[in-house]
Amino acid sequence: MHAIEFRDVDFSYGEGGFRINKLNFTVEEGEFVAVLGHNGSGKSTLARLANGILEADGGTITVFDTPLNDKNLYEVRKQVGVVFQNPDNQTVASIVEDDVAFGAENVGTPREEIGRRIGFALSAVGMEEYRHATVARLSGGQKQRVAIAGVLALKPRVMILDESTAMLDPRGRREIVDVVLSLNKKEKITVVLITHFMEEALLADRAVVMNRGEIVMQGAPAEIFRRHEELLTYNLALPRIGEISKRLREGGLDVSDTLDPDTLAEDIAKCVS
Amino acid sequence: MRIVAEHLSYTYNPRSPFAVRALDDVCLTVEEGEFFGIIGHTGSGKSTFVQHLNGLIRTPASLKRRKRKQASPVQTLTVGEFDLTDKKTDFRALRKSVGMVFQYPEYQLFAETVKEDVAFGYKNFADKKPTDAEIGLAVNEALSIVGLDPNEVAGKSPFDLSGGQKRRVAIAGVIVSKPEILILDEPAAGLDPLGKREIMELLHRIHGAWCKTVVIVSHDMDEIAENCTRAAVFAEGRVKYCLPPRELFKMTDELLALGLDIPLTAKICLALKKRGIEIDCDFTTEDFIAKTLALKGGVK
Amino acid sequence: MKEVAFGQYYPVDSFIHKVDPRLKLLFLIAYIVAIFLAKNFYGLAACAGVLLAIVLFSRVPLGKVLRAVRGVTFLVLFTAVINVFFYRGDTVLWGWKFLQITREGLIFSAFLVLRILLLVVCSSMLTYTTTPVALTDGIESLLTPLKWVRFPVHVLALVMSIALRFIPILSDETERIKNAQKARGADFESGGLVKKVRAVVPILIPLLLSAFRRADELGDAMDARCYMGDKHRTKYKKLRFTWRDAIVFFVGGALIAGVVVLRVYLGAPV
Repeated sequence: MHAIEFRDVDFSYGEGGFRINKLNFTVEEGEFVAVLGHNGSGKSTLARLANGILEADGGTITVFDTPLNDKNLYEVRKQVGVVFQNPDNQTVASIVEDDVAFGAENVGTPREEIGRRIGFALSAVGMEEYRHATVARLSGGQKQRVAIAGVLALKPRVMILDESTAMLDPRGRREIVDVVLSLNKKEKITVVLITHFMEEALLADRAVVMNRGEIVMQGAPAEIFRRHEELLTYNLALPRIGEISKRLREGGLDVSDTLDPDTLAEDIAKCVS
Repeated sequence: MRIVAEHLSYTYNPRSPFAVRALDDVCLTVEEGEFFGIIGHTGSGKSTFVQHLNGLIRTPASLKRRKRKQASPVQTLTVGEFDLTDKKTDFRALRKSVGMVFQYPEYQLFAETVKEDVAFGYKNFADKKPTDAEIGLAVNEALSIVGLDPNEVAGKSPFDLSGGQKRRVAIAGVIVSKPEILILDEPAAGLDPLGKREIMELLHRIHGAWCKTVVIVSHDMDEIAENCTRAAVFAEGRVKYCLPPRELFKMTDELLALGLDIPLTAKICLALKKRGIEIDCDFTTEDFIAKTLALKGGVK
Repeated sequence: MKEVAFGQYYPVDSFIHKVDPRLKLLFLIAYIVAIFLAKNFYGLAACAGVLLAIVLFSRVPLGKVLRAVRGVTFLVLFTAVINVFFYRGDTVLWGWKFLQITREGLIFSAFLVLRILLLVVCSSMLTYTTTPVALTDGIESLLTPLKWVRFPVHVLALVMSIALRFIPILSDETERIKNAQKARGADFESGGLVKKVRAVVPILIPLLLSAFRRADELGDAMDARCYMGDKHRTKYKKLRFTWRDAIVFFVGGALIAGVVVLRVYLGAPV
């Protein structure tokens, strides 16, 4: 089943602004999709459309076979959770559990059930011991995990992360990536990870490259990163390792275009001995 | 101008239940002309340290005196001629010589036009009121070096520019007073890969032509390995290591134990070492590739 | 990194800290009523005694408590001076033109000063021992009956909660922007009023822009979490009364009763 399907979706931010034309895009249930693109390529618009925060000008957006419209907006939002970029701008409460409860409270979940969901959501992101902590004292990665838990408390089937790692330090980024992977594998939640860190995209089942509101490349991440020249035309850099192996090949070393340092070392070792 | 810190300690909200010891006996010297890197987790004290360097955080003189009585080492912090633990220091003159670019500097833009915003620092630091021509010249120069076309952007509102352009305007607004030392707190944070690369290129341009010393705070080990002459590793308010990248990134285990990353080149070198191949490189991409290719030649 | 010591909350674990915030609020109101009902020093002494017990049980250091008083020094002195010199009494101790000091004046101003001090100390004990979050919860809960007259209690509570969350963020941000402009040579200290006001512009504009951007993003994040206002909303946290609250309730009631008795039987101070 399609978790999310965009069919001929049009959207524009008004005259002269950014626009999306006849966009077609699907995410399968259980899939982990990475969406890449330089700043301003339209990837964040995608997230806001899928969750009904922005309304499409034309075409249809379908979430688990339900076409998104004004009437079922909240039903759809329950299914499609979005985590945003800035860890400080997503929390409404000062205490972790109060914030995680917010979404579940909004949809009228009974009290006991909210308590259970807070427990589930916080343990899914590895933050159980911070249940009564003050949000302001957490690190960026921890705040972002609380934001994910807040979305999880709504029991969504799809989780969209809109550059949620962009403002974090490497440790925070790792925390989020680990959480996302486990949600996808263990909880079977469909994940759409919007990012400009190429290394994160490597973990996905499928990578999608956006440029000027269009999807210009899609496929297995390793396969996408093989198409160096094409990526460059969309203002995307190769992951550093791709660049190194490419330069080594140009220098006459017969290494594969792997994206794993260990495999690259293996290849180098083979070539020189 | 050298930066010399000795036994520098700092506590936020001292003597309260919220007290946080941010710096603990920091000793560090940055020589003139360096492209210096500062590494560490959020909360390791690195931001507190760099804010000391242009007097935004000061070690209270009273603390200094008290410490002396206790016969513990005297805290000193000097930048060139400036003694930063002395209340009487001319901090305006200091700030003119030490430029500071904060994290996400685009959020400090405020003026109606790019020109006005960049001119802000220039006017503040001028000894006598500068003429319009002088201002125009300084602004144009600063914009050019950060890679923006003055004719195109000077008259625009800074808020109409793209994210990467805004950041460059913000950097121009700091270097416009030609500081000798330029400090940047994560200059490339939040930018896409191409934007990151452009910012680092621009810093090298500035380092050669405008500012003798550049200090960057960064989480990106590749960035440090590619660009820095030396780097200091902060952890729990202390300087754990201060070495050139060539030596620093050989200490893989120590860095990983601190929860820090290592550059990609170091990762490959490590994997090669396990296979009995040692590459002695300075961990820049260029050197790594050259040495690796030379390896093949050597075998032939 | 930098901790914002927000509000005056003093984080220790004590009997008083654990009392239900609603009851603390009600107790404060009762206490204020008691102070104004007290007509003589015996009544005030009873109030002071109760307050002393609260301070001791709260484990907030005495220095911290006295600091709260420091803020109203001027008010206290002003009240004292005015009343000492202008209160008309019978026993004149000293006089000069229209000024005169009377025995009654001295007693009366001492009475007023004591009242102000008790008032200030008791209110600050509330903020010392109650987190802003608990206070908001308490206010919301106490205002709940107003829902019947269509007062938007829920919106008010949400606004207070978000404000509490964002005040430390924005104060950090102000500090950061201020530092960034200082690093560009901005001078916020010297110069006359006009210059000082103009110096604030480079802080205010970025701060406002940031606040709007944050509000925008927060709105999206709330939308994404299905926020639809008060409709069908449940509430996870419920405040519950415990034995501690019963004690406080009893003490508050006894205090008012005691003060009333003292008032009736012992008369005015002057």
